[in-house]
Amino acid sequence: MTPLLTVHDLTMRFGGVTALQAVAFTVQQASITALIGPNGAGKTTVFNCVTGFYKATTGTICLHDPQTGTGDIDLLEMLGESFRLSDFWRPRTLSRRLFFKLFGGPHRVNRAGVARTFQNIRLFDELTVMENLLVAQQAQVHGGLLAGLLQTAHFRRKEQEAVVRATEWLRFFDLLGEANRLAGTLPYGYQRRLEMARALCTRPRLLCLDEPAAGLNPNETQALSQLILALRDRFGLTVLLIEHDMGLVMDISDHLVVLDHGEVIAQGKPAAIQQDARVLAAYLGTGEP
Amino acid sequence: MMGTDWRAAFRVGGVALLLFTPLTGLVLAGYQLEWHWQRPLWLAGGFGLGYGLLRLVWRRWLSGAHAFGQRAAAGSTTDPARHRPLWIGLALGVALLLPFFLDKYGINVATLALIYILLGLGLNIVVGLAGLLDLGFVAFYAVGAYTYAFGYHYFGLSFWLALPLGGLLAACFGMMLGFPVLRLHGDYLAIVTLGFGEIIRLILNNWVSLTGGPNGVSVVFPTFFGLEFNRRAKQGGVPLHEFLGIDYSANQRAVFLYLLLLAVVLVMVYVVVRLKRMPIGRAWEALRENEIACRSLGINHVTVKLSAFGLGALVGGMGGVFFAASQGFVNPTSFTFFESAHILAIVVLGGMGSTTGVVVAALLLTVVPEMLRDFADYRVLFVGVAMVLMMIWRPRGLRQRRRPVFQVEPSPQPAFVNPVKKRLRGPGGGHPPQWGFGGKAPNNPPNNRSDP
Repeated sequence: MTPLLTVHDLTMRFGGVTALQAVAFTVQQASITALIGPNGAGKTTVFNCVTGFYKATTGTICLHDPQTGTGDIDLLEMLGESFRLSDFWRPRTLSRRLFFKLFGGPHRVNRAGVARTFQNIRLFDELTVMENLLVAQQAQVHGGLLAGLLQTAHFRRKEQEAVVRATEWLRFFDLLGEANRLAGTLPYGYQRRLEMARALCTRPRLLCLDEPAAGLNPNETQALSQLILALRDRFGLTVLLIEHDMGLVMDISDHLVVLDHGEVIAQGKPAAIQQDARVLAAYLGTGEP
Repeated sequence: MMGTDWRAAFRVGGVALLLFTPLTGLVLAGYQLEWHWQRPLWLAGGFGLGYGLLRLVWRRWLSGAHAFGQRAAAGSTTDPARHRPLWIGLALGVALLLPFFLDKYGINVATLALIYILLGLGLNIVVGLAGLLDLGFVAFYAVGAYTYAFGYHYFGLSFWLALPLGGLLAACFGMMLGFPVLRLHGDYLAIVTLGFGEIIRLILNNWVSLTGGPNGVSVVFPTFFGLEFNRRAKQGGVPLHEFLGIDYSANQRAVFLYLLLLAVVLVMVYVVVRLKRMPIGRAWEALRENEIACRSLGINHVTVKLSAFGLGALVGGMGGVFFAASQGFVNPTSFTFFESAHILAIVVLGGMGSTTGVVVAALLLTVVPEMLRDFADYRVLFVGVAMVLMMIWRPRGLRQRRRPVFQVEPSPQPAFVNPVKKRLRGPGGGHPPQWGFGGKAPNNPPNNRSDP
């Protein structure tokens, strides 16, 4: 097993509130890792740090490249770190920092291969389903302005490729019949699937799902678990998910990370986690000491 | 659907007949009643027919949502409105021939209408597509106009150079405005842009040594490949009418400017229509819908916002150059906040993001006030009433933006039930889609653990 994502010593403070305290875990390549914990444990904060929406106070988040082995990608660096005094006699570091200060942000993290969905669905409501998926492929199809205006052969081929890729994902999520509907008019369950399809259109290596089963009925949840397994088994995709539905989590995940009060209290195989005394205490409370 | 239309028309005719029979059929002449039985019949017939036609027109062309539903059902890639090329051709023909049937005043009004179309198209990019409420759009209009004025005044710049330069300079100003307001939304953004527009106007008004202040700057009329439009050319030049061997007419220069502007407007309409179907246009709309989702999809919101401000300002700046050329003179009173509000009204009335809507609204809001010169005092009232009526009947503008329709082949079987067993098959062949991450997928059997 090779690790894809390593989170080390991740601490996040909002003013005086410490939301995360030295969180550390690894996500293995082509595995399903679940992040669980009671409400307010800091699961979504971890997600926001990993996907670049929060800038972690300290710590490292590294995306490894097991295929080429060219080295690790520092996801925190992409958000634009503050300058340090030592930078001024190291022009390379300084220029990198300056570059990411100007052009960095969550979008860079996505381009590095981390895609995410949101707890409260964030679709482009006034755009059609197909357009939602085309927007996600922006970074890949982006041709020149002139090429698009003149509709060059290259531009049309790129657009066609994007439509074909989007069609494949729509087929996978059984949304093909809705391709030309406005995303905002879709039923809730469809919207959940569309958001996953949209995240996948960015061609990620790591897919982060924030409560994908929230609001789904048992049948839909069952189908969803099949889908997530298919993503891992067929496409070799790595999935990191937050979920409250313990049935789903225990069914599909290879590795569990349990958070409570911003700290990792346990991690391991689902069977082991079910027996863990600290996890039981966090979820169910402890008896009188 | 036709049947219901005509039945409703018949009902309206019936009601009209009931009403008009006593009102117009019976006429008191002296001490006796005269019976005019044709009158109510004609009136009722007219009302019924008119109502029916109006309903038909409404259903066919004006109701955007309806058309969209039909198209989505048909699932065609091409535009379903078969009458569209006909309409566009007709409008083009009228636009081309119009200046030859109008007097100078008429041509000037038409030119002004075209300038407002240009401005509307520019603001439509910023407000309609990118969703950035800009109340200071007139600043870019002023930048364009003054680029031509200063360029001519200080550097002897010709119209043909000033046109692209004015656009580019306005685009630069657009991006300059864009940078500080990157984090602002909605009301806050509106206030800042409003301030920006006023700053530009106040600078033009008060920096008298450079701009001439309220006295303004005069502008030379464009030439046609060096040929002038005057009765007598300046030293060494040849006036156009001598070159072509035709009689001089004061209309020639107005017609020329009109046709030139028409060409630019057509190019810009094409550009905007294309932009909406290009990645950049989709990114603008996505940004309007949800900025956070945009960032999570690898879209740099900074460049997307700046490009919207820049391109919108570019179109506005070109409108400004044309305004300066048509007036022959610019001064700051042409660039007040009212102008910004007017352009915004065009975009809102036309329908956010709809090109056709903006064109129609620009024509309406420019030509109708000119035609109703006698009621000039009620002009703003007219706009206000139009807005209120629109809020009631068409809250999304005259013309709702239509979404492009993509052709996808229908799914042969529901894949969601058990996607693991289903094979992916692309329209182009039997290959599964190529993902960037690749890697060998481990074939673990699904874990079947029991619930805790």
